[in-house]
Amino acid sequence: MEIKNQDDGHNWQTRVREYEDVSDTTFSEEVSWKKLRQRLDQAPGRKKHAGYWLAAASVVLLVVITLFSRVSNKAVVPELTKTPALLKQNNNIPVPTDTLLASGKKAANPNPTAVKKAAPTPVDSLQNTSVKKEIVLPSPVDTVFMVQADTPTVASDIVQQPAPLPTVHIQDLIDTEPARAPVSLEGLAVKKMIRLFSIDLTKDQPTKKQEKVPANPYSIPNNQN
Amino acid sequence: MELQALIYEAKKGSKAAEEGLYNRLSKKYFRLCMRYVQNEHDAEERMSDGFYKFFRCLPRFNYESDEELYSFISRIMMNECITQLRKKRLFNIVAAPLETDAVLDEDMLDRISETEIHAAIRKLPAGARTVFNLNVLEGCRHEEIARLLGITSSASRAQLTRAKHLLQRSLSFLKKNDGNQESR
Repeated sequence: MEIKNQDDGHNWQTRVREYEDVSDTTFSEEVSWKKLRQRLDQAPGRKKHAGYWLAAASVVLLVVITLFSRVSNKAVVPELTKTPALLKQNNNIPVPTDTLLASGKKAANPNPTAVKKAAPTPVDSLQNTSVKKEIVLPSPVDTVFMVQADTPTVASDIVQQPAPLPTVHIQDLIDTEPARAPVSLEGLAVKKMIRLFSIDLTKDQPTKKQEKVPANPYSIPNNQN
Repeated sequence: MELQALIYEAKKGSKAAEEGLYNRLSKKYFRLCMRYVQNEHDAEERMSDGFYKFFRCLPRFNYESDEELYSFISRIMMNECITQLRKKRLFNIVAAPLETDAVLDEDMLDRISETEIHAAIRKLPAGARTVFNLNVLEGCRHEEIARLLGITSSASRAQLTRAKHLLQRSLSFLKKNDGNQESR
């Protein structure tokens, strides 16, 4: 606040400002001081009350935090359990133990709502879908993670999937056999049995022909007598 | 005991020093509140509130001079009075300025006693009285008054003109009566 210098030429203003006569009023200095003294003495009591209020507020805050943490824990349960139709469907389907073991889980829990969800993994997200009924999920070891080209990685970190073997139908083998090697039906039947069951039936009665059978069941020798 | 010593003791927590300060300053600030608030009881309440705030913030107050102490307490009292006036909506601010700019006869005011000037100021309407007190007696500029009262600076100027006009008329009438009494 800017105060002008008004006292130089205007005495009436100074006189009015410093006017202290209260004889024409009912003002009592002693009475007003007693009232003020009471107010000033009551002030420390307010601080005590403030302490109580602070303590009460901290208790309320603790309760609110506890409740909030419980609510947040409930929110972690997977979404599948929220829909009763899906829940019923999942309980009726027997999940093979091999699948669960392969995905690193223990035995199936009959009540999925009681299960606390761990950190979400790609395998878990697949299990929550309807695909679970149809397929057996691969073990985590077989899972191949897609790595972007510009991401620096160590080659040993990536688990390489074994190359798939070519699928050959048994009928194809039968059709090709006579063309390659014309043999008797009896001998052909025996060879088929050996290929199908991988059992060495001729072990008890070894013959020259059977000894010549190669280790690979898919390859047929050309020089059959 | 000097004001500086009283302040020093009151800052330590001496109740006697606080009472001493109150006895030294209460009348002066009661009169200040009376200039803003017409009702005596209200003026005493505002003064009491002002002293309560002053004693609460006394530990943080740094004494430098008596004038600064007076100015500090004046500001507290002034704010208390303006707050009450704004709460009660006692302002009747007229923005339209008067055609002729009123001028106070300073020589005449110097010859009139402070009791009469006080009485004349208290008879002014609330808006004009507050602006007159703030501008003429406290030395606030119109922009600052406008901010304090929540009005425009032109409204503040208009109120000051009105206050001066009314005060001049009131004091002229008073002086005329005194002259008549002297001639008789």
